[in-house]
Amino acid sequence: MEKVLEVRDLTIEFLIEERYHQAVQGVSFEIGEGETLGLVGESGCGKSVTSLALMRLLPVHTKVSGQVRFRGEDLLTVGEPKMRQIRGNEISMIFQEPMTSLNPVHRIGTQISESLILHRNLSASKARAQSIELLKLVGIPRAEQIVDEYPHQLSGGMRQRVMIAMAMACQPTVLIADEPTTALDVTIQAQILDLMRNLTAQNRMSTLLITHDLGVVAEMCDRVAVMYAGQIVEQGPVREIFRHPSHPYTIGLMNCIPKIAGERTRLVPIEGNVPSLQNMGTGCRFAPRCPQAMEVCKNEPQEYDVGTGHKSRCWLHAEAGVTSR
Amino acid sequence: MSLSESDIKQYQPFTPVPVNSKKRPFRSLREFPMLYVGGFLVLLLIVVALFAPLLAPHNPDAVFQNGLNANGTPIAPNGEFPFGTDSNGRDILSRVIYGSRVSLTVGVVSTVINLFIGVVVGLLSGYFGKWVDTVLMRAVDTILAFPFLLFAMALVAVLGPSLWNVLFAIGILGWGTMARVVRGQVLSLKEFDYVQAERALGASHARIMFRIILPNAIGPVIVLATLNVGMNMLTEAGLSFLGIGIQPPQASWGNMIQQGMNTYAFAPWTLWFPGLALVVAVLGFNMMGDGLRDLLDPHNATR
Amino acid sequence: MTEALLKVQDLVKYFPIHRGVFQHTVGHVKAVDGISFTVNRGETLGVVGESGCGKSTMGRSVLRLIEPTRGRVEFEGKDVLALNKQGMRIMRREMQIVFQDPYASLNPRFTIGQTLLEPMKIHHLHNPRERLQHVYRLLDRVGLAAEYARRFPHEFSGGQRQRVGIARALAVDPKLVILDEPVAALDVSVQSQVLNLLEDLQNELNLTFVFIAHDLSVVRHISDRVLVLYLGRMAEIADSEELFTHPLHPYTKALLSAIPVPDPDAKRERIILQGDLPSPANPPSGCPFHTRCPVAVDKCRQEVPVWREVQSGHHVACHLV
Ligand SMILES: Nc1ncnc2c1ncn2[C@@H]1O[C@H](COP(=O)(O)OP(=O)(O)OP(=O)(O)O)[C@@H](O)[C@H]1O
Ligand SMILES: Nc1ncnc2c1ncn2[C@@H]1O[C@H](COP(=O)(O)OP(=O)(O)OP(=O)(O)O)[C@@H](O)[C@H]1O
Ligand code: SF4
Ligand code: SF4
Ligand SMILES: [Mg+2]
Ligand SMILES: [Mg+2]
Repeated sequence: MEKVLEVRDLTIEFLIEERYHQAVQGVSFEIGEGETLGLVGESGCGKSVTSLALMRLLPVHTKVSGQVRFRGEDLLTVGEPKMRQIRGNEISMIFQEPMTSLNPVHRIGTQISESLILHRNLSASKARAQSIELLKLVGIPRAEQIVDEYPHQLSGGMRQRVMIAMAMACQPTVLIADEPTTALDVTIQAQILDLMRNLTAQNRMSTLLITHDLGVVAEMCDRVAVMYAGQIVEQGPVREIFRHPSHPYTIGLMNCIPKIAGERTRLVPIEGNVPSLQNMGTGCRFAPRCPQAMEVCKNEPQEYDVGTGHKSRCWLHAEAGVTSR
Repeated sequence: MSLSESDIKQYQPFTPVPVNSKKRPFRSLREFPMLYVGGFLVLLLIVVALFAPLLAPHNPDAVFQNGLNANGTPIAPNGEFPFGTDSNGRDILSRVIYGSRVSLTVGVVSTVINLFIGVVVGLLSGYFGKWVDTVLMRAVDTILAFPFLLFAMALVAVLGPSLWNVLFAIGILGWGTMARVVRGQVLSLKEFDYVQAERALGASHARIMFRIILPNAIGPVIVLATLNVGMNMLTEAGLSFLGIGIQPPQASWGNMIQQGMNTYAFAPWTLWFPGLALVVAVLGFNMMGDGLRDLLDPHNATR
Repeated sequence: MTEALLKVQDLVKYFPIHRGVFQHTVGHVKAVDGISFTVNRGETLGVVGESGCGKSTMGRSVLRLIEPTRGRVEFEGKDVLALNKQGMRIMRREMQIVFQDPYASLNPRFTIGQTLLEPMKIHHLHNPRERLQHVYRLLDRVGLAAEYARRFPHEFSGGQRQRVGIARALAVDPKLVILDEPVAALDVSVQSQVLNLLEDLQNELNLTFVFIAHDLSVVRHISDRVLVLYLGRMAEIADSEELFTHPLHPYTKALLSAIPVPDPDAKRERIILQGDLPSPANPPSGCPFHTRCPVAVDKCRQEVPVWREVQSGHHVACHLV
């Protein structure tokens, strides 16, 4: 499989109270053509920040290092005009909040047409016709009327479809979807996921799907990267991760979600809280909450191969046979 | 869990402990210049009013033999009368200093009256809604629809001009905006779950209004009250200028300005100094109000 | 165990819609439209349904935080809606609520200790010394350290705040607690901590819960029985296991099939709903679900399906069942 997007050693630091703090540290992953990579982790672990870095949309005074290779070019170093061409055209993004990511003062049609006129050089009337087509594609009824309506006239699920339509407008190579269904009800979520699955398959699009819902990951993704406190702690094919989770955090996550079928058992929570950016400490970042923490965990663990394409950042794998298979 | 006697003592009042001692309690002058400059001017005004007898070089009401030129015109500022004299031969500096007491009294006390009425009306209106809101807000609309100064003039004219009547008139008429601001705050706060939780616990309306909602609504009210002090000072000056406020010979910046108008052509200092005092005082309160607004702004709070 | 603690009958709440300069009423949002259920002592009734279907309105109406339009709420045989002010004050010690948003549910100007003292002050419980002891007992019970009593809410994480919210509800020793999406704003790892805490508290204190949520796996985990709402009306109620294994109402079926399962090999028949989402201001005629129901027939558009018991304890409102 050809690599479309390749992220190497991405580190992001924010200026908080006159000091830089690492929100994301040494993140590496790649996405192949037509592949969907799931990025999971709890609130504040750096998922959105990572995705914004790929689009170069982080606020000023943010230190970003590493590489984001898209078709051989490092997106972190290309000029801003070039980047503007890539955004919305080659790489599109769907944001977390369907309520706030549409501009309330412009009509739906205008907002979709915008990128078509900008990137595809379509005339206004052509762009409008194309917008209606796109709205139909994402399953919006009455598309001819909806193009002339304003965001507040649509329900949450419809707004999210509009966001998808906008992201799809220029048939991007890479789609970044940041919790596209978190704000929606399950029945609507099912519709949207279904839609995204069909569209990505049709267009052979490479997708980075950010979520904190392991169910969504299991259903949508080919590979998964599990993030904790700014680092990717485990990464591998979806089946591997769910069948043989290796990192204590991943195992903890799997154990603490209530099951929808089978016997009802007491949940096994991960005790404690996620450390804040300001007091991340040294060594393994999961150590304060890890049930298997050892003396050696005071040092930073490296990534170990624990299966084909399956990596885990934990000292347990250093001694062979200690993996929790 | 059992606690020792000393544990209980230690935690007794649940007074907060400062956890994040790194946070600076005082913001820098650079961040909030308005607050500091305004606050300084207001402080200056208070000191002057408080220590007027010590600061004033002369008795403000004394007519000085040497207070007028031979041709009966006021004396220009000099060593003895730093701000010059007025057309009666009185020391302007001393009168300006004593006048600050009037301005400050009227400004502050009438604002306290405004605050009291405005907060109660706004609280009741926002909290109870329905017909209480309708009735009270109509009252606010009415009071805001009248030209304030005209209304105050009429009221003082009826009551008779005196310091206390001026103060009362301004106090009883100027609470409309305050009530609206408080009402707006209450409307949004009462939907907060912590207010709902209090209701679910069975707290009385009075407890919810005064103990829970009011302390959370107080920020914008303080800002408005500070600005209001300056406004009320201006109104007092206006009334006195028109001759229906503070009556001569008692010194007020308003009636001094009025008197200065007559001698302005040949003795401009008779107008300048009381005018300047008024401008500085009002500016002080306004800047402090704006500064407080910036300080209380949630966007600044997190810095 | 099967002694009824709370009985709700035909609960209705319409919110008037005001328009124009004179704010005249132009219609009603039928947020809750005829809901009846019973909660037995010591059990947990889960309430599910999509956003805006009236779950919170129902919970708040039962507590009279919102005055219901009509209906009957009985707590231990007492008619709650008929109580006067004094009676209601006493009743509030019996029924408490925990809110969804841990950031909006604590007074930012009170320390945690003050927040927990508040219920005891309101009800003049205990003497001052005992109150302090009680605050520490409560903090301990919800797994928070004693020194947190002197801290402010903004210094806490969402999960810790939710624990405080739970402690506040427990301060008056209630028999019934309505939990309005208590874990919806929490991360899964913290969510599991809070869910376990709730289970422990229920066992220790013999509490009765009404657990409102939109996450079905959480509801299944914690509930003995589950009530499914759709557009302010009841669609189905059954024992938890029964409902999750043998759902009868087409909406419940769609709901269950839509849950993403954390298992990449799970092969499932997914029912994707089509059609417009109706609004509670203008609910469809007949069965409220007919605009999206995959098996709707003509009758559904005209007649409101009756609420029937199809099996002992399993009620459903659908023409085709
Ligand atoms: N502009 C910023 N300045 C300082 N810190 C920031 C900024 N943006 C994000 N952060 C911090 O970076 C960390 C990662 O945030 P991010 O938004 O990526 O989390 P996330 O994984 O997307 O969480 P969620 O699931 O809640 O969306 C957080 O601790 C956040 O507070
Ligand atoms: N105070 C109010 N005035 C008017 N309409 C209201 C009011 N409160 C709720 N509603 C409406 O009543 C309906 C039910 O709302 P409710 O908050 O009970 O839903 P919910 O099931 O709790 O939803 P969610 O899962 O989003 O919390 C919604 O359509 C809502 O817009
Ligand atoms: S490195 Fe140590 S502390 Fe970190 S996850 Fe592995 S065992 Fe736990
Ligand atoms: S009554 Fe008809 S529309 Fe309603 S759920 Fe049953 S089949 Fe569907
Ligand atoms: Mg995010
Ligand atoms: Mg709700």
